[in-house]
Amino acid sequence: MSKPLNRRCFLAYATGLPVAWATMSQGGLPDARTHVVEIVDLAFNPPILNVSIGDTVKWVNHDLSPHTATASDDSWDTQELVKGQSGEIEITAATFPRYFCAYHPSMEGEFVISSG
Amino acid sequence: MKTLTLSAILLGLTLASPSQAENPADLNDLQIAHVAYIADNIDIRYAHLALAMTSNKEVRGFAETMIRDHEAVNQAALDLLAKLGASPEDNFLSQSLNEGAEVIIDKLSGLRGVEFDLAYAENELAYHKAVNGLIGDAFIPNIENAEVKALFEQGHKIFLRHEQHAANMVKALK
Repeated sequence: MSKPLNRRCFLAYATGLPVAWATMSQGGLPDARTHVVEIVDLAFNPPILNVSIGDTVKWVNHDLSPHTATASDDSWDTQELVKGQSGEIEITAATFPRYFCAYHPSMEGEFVISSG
Repeated sequence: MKTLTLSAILLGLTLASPSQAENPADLNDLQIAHVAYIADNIDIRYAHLALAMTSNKEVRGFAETMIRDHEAVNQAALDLLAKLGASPEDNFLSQSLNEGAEVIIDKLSGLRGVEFDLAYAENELAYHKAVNGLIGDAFIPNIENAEVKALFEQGHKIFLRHEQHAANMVKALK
């Protein structure tokens, strides 16, 4: 199960089409991509991600313990992700680039954001 | 190889007993599962006590994480046992852990404020160190069922992170 499920992503999931394709068809940036960060063994993998404005970052929790991906300045948050759940955000120019797990603060991750 | 670990001593077990049955490394998979379930529940009880006793944000956050993670591990263990059609078996180590927990809860309940916070944090550090030693040295090497072993390996990684988190909490409170 994925959350939050906005309209664009809902369309992609409902039709089985890739999210990146949906982004293009809905008027997003033509090269927008979806990046997946796997949460395994209490770590974000990859811990550092190169992204562009308009891209989507999706976290998938494979651990037994629930996790979050939460901006270090609290400006965005996936909310709790239990095992098997995923959550995502869209990268904007204002996206704070460092994050951690609110439940396990030593779990940290980072974006390197380019303008695309 | 079956070995008795330092963790057993830290958990208050006696080495004086000549009985092989009282060596943690000699427990079977279902007895080990019972110990793990009890150990998880004890830490959940400590955490609920902390939530009732402290207003310290960091300590409350840690306690909430303990409840969340140990409940998740216990649920996974119950699901696996149900799948295997097995039931955990009570044993001397589970009973010893429960007896020790009663003493600790009594002691913690008598403390207030920063004194409680530090005592809770120090107990969490000592408890996770002891349980992690037990899991890593006595349980994982001796578990026979591959799925049970894999679950313990996953749990061990989580509990090692708790130990690190508790160490940071102790440092911050001192």
